[in-house]
Amino acid sequence: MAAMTIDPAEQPRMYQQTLLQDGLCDLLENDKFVDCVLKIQDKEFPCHRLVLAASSPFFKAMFLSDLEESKKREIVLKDVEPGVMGMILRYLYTSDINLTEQNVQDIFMAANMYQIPSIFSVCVSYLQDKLVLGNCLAIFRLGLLLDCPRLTLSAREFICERYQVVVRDQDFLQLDPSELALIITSDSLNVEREELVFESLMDWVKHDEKSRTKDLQELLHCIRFRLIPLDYFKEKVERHQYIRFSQEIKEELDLVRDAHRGRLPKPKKLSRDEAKGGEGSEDEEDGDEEGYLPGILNNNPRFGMFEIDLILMINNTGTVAYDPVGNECFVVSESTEIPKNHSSLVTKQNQVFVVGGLIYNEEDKDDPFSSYFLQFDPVSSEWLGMPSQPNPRCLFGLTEAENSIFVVGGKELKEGEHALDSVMIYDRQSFKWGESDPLPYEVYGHGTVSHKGLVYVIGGKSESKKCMRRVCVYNPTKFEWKDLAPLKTARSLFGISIHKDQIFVVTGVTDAGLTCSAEVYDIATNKWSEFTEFPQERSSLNLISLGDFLYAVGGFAMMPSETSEEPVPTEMTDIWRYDEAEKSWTGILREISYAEGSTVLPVRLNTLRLTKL
Amino acid sequence: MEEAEKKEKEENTETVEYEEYEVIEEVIVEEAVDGADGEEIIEEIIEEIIEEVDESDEKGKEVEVKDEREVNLPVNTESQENIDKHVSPPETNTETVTEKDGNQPLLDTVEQTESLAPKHSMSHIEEKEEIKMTDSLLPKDAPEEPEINETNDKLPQKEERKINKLKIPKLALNNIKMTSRPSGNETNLESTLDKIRNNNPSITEVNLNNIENIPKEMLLDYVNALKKNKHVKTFSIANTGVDENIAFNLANMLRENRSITTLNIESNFITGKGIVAIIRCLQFNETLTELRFHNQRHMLGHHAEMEISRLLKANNTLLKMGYHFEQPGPRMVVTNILTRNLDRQRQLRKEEQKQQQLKEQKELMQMYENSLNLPPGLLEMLGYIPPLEFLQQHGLVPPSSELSTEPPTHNQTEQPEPKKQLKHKSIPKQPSAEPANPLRDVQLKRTPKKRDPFLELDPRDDRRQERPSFQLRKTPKVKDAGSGEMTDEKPNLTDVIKTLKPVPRRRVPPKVELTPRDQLLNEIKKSNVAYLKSVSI
Repeated sequence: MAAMTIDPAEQPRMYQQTLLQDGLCDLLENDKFVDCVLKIQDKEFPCHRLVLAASSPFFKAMFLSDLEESKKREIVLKDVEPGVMGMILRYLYTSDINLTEQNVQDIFMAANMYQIPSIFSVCVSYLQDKLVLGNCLAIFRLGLLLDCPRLTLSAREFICERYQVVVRDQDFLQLDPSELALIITSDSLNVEREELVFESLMDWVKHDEKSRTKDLQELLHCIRFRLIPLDYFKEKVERHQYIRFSQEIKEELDLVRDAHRGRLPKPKKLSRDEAKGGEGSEDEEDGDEEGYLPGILNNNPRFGMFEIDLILMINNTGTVAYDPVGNECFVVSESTEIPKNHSSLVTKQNQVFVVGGLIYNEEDKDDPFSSYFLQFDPVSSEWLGMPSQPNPRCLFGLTEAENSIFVVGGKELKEGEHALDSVMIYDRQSFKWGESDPLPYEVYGHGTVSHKGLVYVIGGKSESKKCMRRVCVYNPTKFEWKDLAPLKTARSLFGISIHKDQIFVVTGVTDAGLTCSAEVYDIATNKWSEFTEFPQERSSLNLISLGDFLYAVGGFAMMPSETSEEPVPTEMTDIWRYDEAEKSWTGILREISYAEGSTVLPVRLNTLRLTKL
Repeated sequence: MEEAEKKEKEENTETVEYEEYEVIEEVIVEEAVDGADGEEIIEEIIEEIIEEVDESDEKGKEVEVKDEREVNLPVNTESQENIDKHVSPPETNTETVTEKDGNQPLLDTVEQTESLAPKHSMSHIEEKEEIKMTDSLLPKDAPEEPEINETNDKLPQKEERKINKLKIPKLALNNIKMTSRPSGNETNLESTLDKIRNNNPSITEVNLNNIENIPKEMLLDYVNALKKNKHVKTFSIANTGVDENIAFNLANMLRENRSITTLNIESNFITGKGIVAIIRCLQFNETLTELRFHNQRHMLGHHAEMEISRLLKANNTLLKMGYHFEQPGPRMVVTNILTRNLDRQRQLRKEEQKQQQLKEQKELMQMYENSLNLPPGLLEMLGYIPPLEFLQQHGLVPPSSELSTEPPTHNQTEQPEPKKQLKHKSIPKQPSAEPANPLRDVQLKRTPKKRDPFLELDPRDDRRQERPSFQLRKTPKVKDAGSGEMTDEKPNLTDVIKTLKPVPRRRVPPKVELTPRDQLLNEIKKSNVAYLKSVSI
C-alpha cells in the first residue's frame, strides 16, 4: 500500500511495528496470553496487561501499583461506556478507529481519563478538522477543560478569525470571564475597529449584569482603548452605564485619556503593576508586550485592522492588489484558474466573484455549455468553484442586488453570436442559477451597476452593432424594467462606476470610434451631465470608486505601433485618479504590468494575509 | 351509574334526531344555560375577561373566543359516542371549509354555520344535564387538542383553562360575531401577525381566506413577516383582494422562506405578471409543494402561461398546482413537470430508505463484530450476515425489533440516548454465550483493514434541511462564505454540546472514593452543559 513512499530508514521500524501490532491482535483473537479482563457494566473485554500498560500511563501505574486491582484478572472500570472502551481497545490493537460526531466526545473524555496519548491526539486532530462556526466555542472550552493547548489554540484562532460573527452567537454570552479574556486579548482578532471588541464585552456583561460587573474592571484591560477614537471614547465608553459609576475604572480610564493626549505613564511603574496584581493571568500577555505599561494602554493593532482599500487586478496569470496610498503591490492569489475573458464583481460585503470562460459538460445533453463561476476565498487565497453559470456569454454586465448576482445581456457564446436580452441571476441563498425578467432589448458591451437594490443598464450595442443611448433600470422587488433618461452620447465598452450616488461613464466606443468624453448621471434627479474628459480616447477603461476617489485603470487606446504608422488598439496599463478640486485626471502610475488583461475591482483586504511584491 | 349514562345516551340520540330543530333553538338554549349556571362562573370569568381585553381589542377577543369554542366543542361531544358521526373531527372540518372557501365565499358562510350549529346544540344539552361533569371533563380533554388553530398559544395549559371558563360568555357573543364577519373566518389578524413576526412555533397554518376588508398594508405585513418565519406551513389568502403588488412581495417572500409548503392565492386580482413573478421565484424555492392560484379576476393570458410552463422547469419540488391552463401546450408541460417532480420525490424517498437500511445493516454488522470479537469489516467482506435469531439465541442481542428503532428522520440531538440504551441492553450475558459460539471456532485469517464504505454519512443527509446546521461538517457553506451566509449558520452552542455529547444522565455513582478529578469529570458528564465548567487558565 503505502510502502512505496516509505523512507528506507523507516522501513524496518515500520515492518516491526506492523508485525508487532498484528501479532498482538492475533494473540487476542485467539485468546492467548490474555491476562486481564476489563469489565464495564455487564460487558467484558479480554486483553493484555502488557498492551494496556504500554499504551497508557494510567494502566501502567495501576498494574505496577500495589493496589489489589493490579493482582486481579478482572478490572472493573466505571465512568466509561462499554462501546467507547471497545473502540479504544480496538484502536490499541489495530490502529483503527472510527470517530464520528457522536462518539468523539466520549472517546476524547475516555482517552483523557485513561491517559491514552495516541487516541487523545487522534481526537484532537479530528476536532480541529471539524471546527465550524457552530461548535468553535464548544471546542475551545473543551480544549481548555482537557488542558489541550493544541486544540484550544486552533479553536481560538478560528474564533478570532470570525470574531464578528461569533459574538452574535447566544453562547458567546455564556463564556466564563477567563475564557472571554483569552479570546479578546488576542492580537489576531479579525476586527476593523476596537469599538466592536468593547461592545461585545459590554453585551457579555449585560447578559448577566449582577455577577459580571465585578469582572468588568479586569476585562477592560483587554480592550485596547488607545485604538478607539477619542469621540467614541468620551461618548460611549466613559459614559457607559457600567463604567460611569465605578471609581476604580474611572481612574484607569484616565490613564487612557492621558495617553490620548500623549502623556504615557513612566514605563517602569512597578508599584502600579502590583497595585493591580489582581489583574490575573489574562493580562500578563499584554503587560509583557508593553514592558511595564498597564495593559489598558496596549495599542497594538488587531489583525483585522490591517485591512485597507486596494485596487485588485485579476487575470489569468494571478491576482495582484495595488495600494494607491502606500504605492505598494501585494500578491493576492497565484492561482491561474481564472478564465481569460471574464467579468468580475465585488459585493457590498467585499466578496469577490468572477464569471466567464466556457465549460463543456458531456453529460448534460440539453445544455452542455456553461461558464465558470468562482468566488475568492481570502483565507486560503484561492478561487472556489461555484455552480457554473448556464447560458454562457461574453460582453455581458455583472452586478449584484439583494441576494442575487445578475448576469445581464451580452453576446451568446454560440454560433450566431446573437446579442441577448436574457438576464440570469444567481440566488445566493439557494446556491442556484435562474432566470430573471429579460431586458426590454438585446444588448452587449453595455455598462451594468447597481445602487440601492436597483440594477442599471447603460448604453451598449444592439444586435445591429449600433451604439445605443438607452438606459434602463430593473427593480427586483417589482420585477420590472423601466426606461430612464438616455445617455448624451451613444456608446459602448466604457468605464463605469457608482461614486457618491452618481453613475460615472467615462470614454468608450461610439459609432465613430473611440471617445474621451465622459458623463455623469445623477440618480436622484434622473439627469445626465457632462463630466471632465479623460486625457485619452480609450475603450474598455476600468473605472472604480475606492475610498474617496475615482480611479481609472488601463483599457485600450489607438496607438501607432512599432511596425506600422497606422494606429492600432494597444492595451494600456496606467492608473489615473480624478482630482475633484482641480477637476482633472492625474496620472499616478505610468505602468503596472499586472493590469494587463485584467479586470479591476476596488476591494478591502487584509495586508497581513498578503505578500508584498 | 351505568344506567344513568345510558339514559344520557338515549337522550342524546334523541337530540340527534331533532338536529334541525336544534339550530333554531340554539339561541334559546344558550340563554338558558347562561341563566342556569352563569352566576356560578361569572366571577371567575370576569378576571379572565379583563385579562383578555388587555391583550386584544374587542373584535380580537370575539374572534379568539369563537375559535376556541369551535375547537373545544367537538371534543366535548365526542365523549358521547352516539353523536360522533355527526361531528366531523375538527381538522377535517376546517379543511373542508378552506377547500370551499376559495370559490364560493358566500356559500361557505352558510355551510359553516350549518355545520357548527348541531355541534353547539349537542354540547348545550349535554351541559344542561350535567354541567359539572363536562366541566370536570374538559381540562382532561383539552390538552389532547392538536394545534389546529393559529390562535392557540405557546402555553396550551393556561390557554385551555381560559377557554374552559370563558365558554359561556362566548356563546352569548356568538350572534354578534357572526355579523361582524360574514366570511366566518375567525382568525385574529393582529395577534396572528404578531405571532408570525415572533416566529411562534404554534402557528403552522395561516388562513385569511375570505376575510373582508383586510387592509393592503396588513396583507403586506403578513407576507413580509413570513420571509423570516420558520414554522408556517400553509398560507391561504384566497379571496382577500390580493393584487399585483402583493403578488410581487409574495414572490420575493418565497425566495427567502423555507417553511411554507402550501400557498393558496385563489380568487384574487393577480394578473399574469404577478403569477409569473411568483413562478420565477420558485426557481429558487425548494419547499413549496402546492400552489393554488385559480380564479383570478383577469385571465393570465397566453404569454404568461407559456412563461409559467417554461420557468417551472427549474423547480423540482412543486407537486400540485391549482390552476387550469387555457392553452393545451403549457398544460401538458406543467403536468409533465409535476409528474417528474413527484417521481423525483418518490425516488428520493426510496433512496433515503435504502440508505437507512444500509446504515442499519452496517450497525448490525458492527454489533456482530463487536460481540463476536471479529476484526472490523470482516463480515462485510464475507458478505455474510448471520440471521438475527442467531445472535438472539446466544443472548447477544435483545430479541426485539429494537434494532431498527431509529426512525429515519430522527433528530440529531435525540439520537444518542436511544442508541445508548440499545447498547446497554444488547449484551446481557456474553460470557455464557462465548463457548457456544461457532464462529469463534472458525480460524479466520486476519484480513487487511478495509475502509468501510458506509462510514461516511450519506452525503445527501448534509443537504437535507432538517439537519441542524451546527453539526461537525468539514465544509460548511464556505463556498459562498462571507458575512451574508455566515449569519445563516447561526451557531448554537447548547445544541452543539448536545450533539457532540450523548449525555448519560442515569449514572451509577461510583463505589470507590472520589478524587476531585473524578468529581470534576463526573460533574461534567452529568451536566447538560458538559465541558463548560470554568477552568482557570
